[in-house]
Amino acid sequence: MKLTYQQITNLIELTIATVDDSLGCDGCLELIDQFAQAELDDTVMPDAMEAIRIHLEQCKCCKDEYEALMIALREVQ
Amino acid sequence: MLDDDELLMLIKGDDASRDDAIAQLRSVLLRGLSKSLNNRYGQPFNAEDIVQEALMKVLSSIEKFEGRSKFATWAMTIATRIGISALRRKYHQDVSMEAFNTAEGHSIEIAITVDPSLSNSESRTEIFSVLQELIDTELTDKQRRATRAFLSDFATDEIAEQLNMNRNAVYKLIHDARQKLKDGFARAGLTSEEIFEALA
Repeated sequence: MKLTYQQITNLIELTIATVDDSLGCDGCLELIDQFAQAELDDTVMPDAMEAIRIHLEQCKCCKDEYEALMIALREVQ
Repeated sequence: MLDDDELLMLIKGDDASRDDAIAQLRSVLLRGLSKSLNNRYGQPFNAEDIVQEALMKVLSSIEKFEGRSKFATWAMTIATRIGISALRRKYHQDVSMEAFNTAEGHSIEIAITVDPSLSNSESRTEIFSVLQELIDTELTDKQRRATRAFLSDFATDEIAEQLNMNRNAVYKLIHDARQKLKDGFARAGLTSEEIFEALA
C-alpha cells in the first residue's frame, strides 16, 4: 500500500511522539470513569491517573471515547 | 430527581421504585448520548437502541461497580463505549478495505517524489528513505498490516476485529511498531528537531 504524503507525516509525528505506555487500552478503560469524574469535579488527579493522560495522548480510539464521554457527562451534569 | 446514591441503591434493590430509577438512568443516558454522539463520524445516531443495550449491560454488570466514580458516570462510560463502537462499525462498512488486502503482501510503500527545488529536499529524502528501510526491516508483517490500517483511519477496535485480535493487543502492536521506528531514527542519528524541520 502506497502511503500519501499526509499519511507519511502522520506516521512520523506519531513515531516521534511515542513514549512508554504501561497502561494500554484495557487499563485505561478500567480507570477512565474515575479520571472523567475527577475532571468533571475539578479535583486533583491522583498520581496514578497520569498514566491515563499519557495513554490518551497516544491512543486515538480511547481519546475519542473520552471526549465523547465528557460531552455526555457535561450535558447531564 | 434521585441523587446518585439513591439511584444506585434503588436499581440494585427489588422494590417497586426500581423501575422508576431505571427510567431515570435511561433518561440521563439518552440525553447524554444524544448530545455526544449525534453526527459523530458523520453518522446519524439512534440513541434509543444504544441506550437500551447500554442499560442491559449496566444492569448485568452492576455488581462490578466499585464506586471509584459516581454511578451515573460509570453507566455513561459503558453507554459511550457501546455507542461509539456501533458508530465505528457503521462508518467502516463503506470504507475501502485496501489496508487489509494482503494480495500485495503487508507492504507499506513510501513513494513520494521530493521536489528537488525545496531547500530541505535532501534531508526530507533521507528521512523518507530511513523510514522505508525501518518499516521493511524492523516491523513484523502484523505490525505493518495494523499500522497501515491505522494510517487509513481505521479505529483500533475495527483493526482488532479484522485481525482477530483484541483492542489492547492491537494498540500494543502499533505502539511497539512506533517505538521501533523511533529507536531506528535515533540510531540513524536523526533527531526530532531535524525531522520536524525537514517536514516543515
